[in-house]
Amino acid sequence: MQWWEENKRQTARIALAIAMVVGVDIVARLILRLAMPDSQDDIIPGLIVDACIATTIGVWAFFRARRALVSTVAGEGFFVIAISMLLIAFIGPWVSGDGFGAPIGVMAGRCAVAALVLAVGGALGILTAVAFGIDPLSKAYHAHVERTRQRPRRR
Amino acid sequence: MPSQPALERTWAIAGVIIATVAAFGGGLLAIFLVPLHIGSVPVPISLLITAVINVASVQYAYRVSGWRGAGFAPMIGWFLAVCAAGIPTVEGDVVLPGTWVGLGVLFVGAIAATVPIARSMMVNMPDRGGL
Repeated sequence: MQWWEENKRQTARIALAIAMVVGVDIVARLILRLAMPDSQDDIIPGLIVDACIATTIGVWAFFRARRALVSTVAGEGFFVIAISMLLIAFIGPWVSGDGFGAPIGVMAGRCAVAALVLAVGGALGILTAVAFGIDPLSKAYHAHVERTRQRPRRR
Repeated sequence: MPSQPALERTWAIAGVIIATVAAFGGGLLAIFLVPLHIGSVPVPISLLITAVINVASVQYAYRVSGWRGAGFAPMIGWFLAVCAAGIPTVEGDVVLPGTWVGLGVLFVGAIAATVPIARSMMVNMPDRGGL
């Protein structure tokens, strides 16, 4: 109970991010299924769905990195990636119309692709926040530099 | 005689390799126990073995090396075992079947390895002075 009281905000944040990523994946697959019902091509729809989920986790990581340290965002992002990849590998093909039953090797391959895509998106989000200097460490560094500049020099 | 840091680094690398081999071997052991039945009732002991081995190997790799990313090596070792056992042969034989226990091994293993890795990543770096 004490653990829950201490971690419920973080748990809710991670759950929300997972729901966002999986939700975007499902919506993107449904839209593509409706828009291209006769398509035999797997590559283009797959790339579009991957781009959507990478962008989603990238935006989440960017905004999260404004308030939390990079190590915290990376840890939370790892949770999000691990659970999202399992859900995407399990639910995604069913939403696309392929059915549930796939060999575990194929499922593991889908997990690996989803994890790679999500990791690249999350890393880009964090690195963009660092590049803009809006993460807490960069802000603390700039504040320290400003204070040092304003301080009168000792003689 | 090698210096103390070199010995520590060697010990850390050896620990990570041991953890990776243990995760791979433990993963294979759990996979081969997936079809275990008592009578007609499936016994999902492989889920328990997967969870214990993944948590223990990831924690061991992190503790023995002190590196945040060390836990990834056992996780990759376990994942390779799952991939190797899950891909069907040309004749269609597969070690890890697509039953609910087989899927459970994939889910439980991934989550059991994720929790300690994410926790080790969230530990803040020690204060080195300065900012």
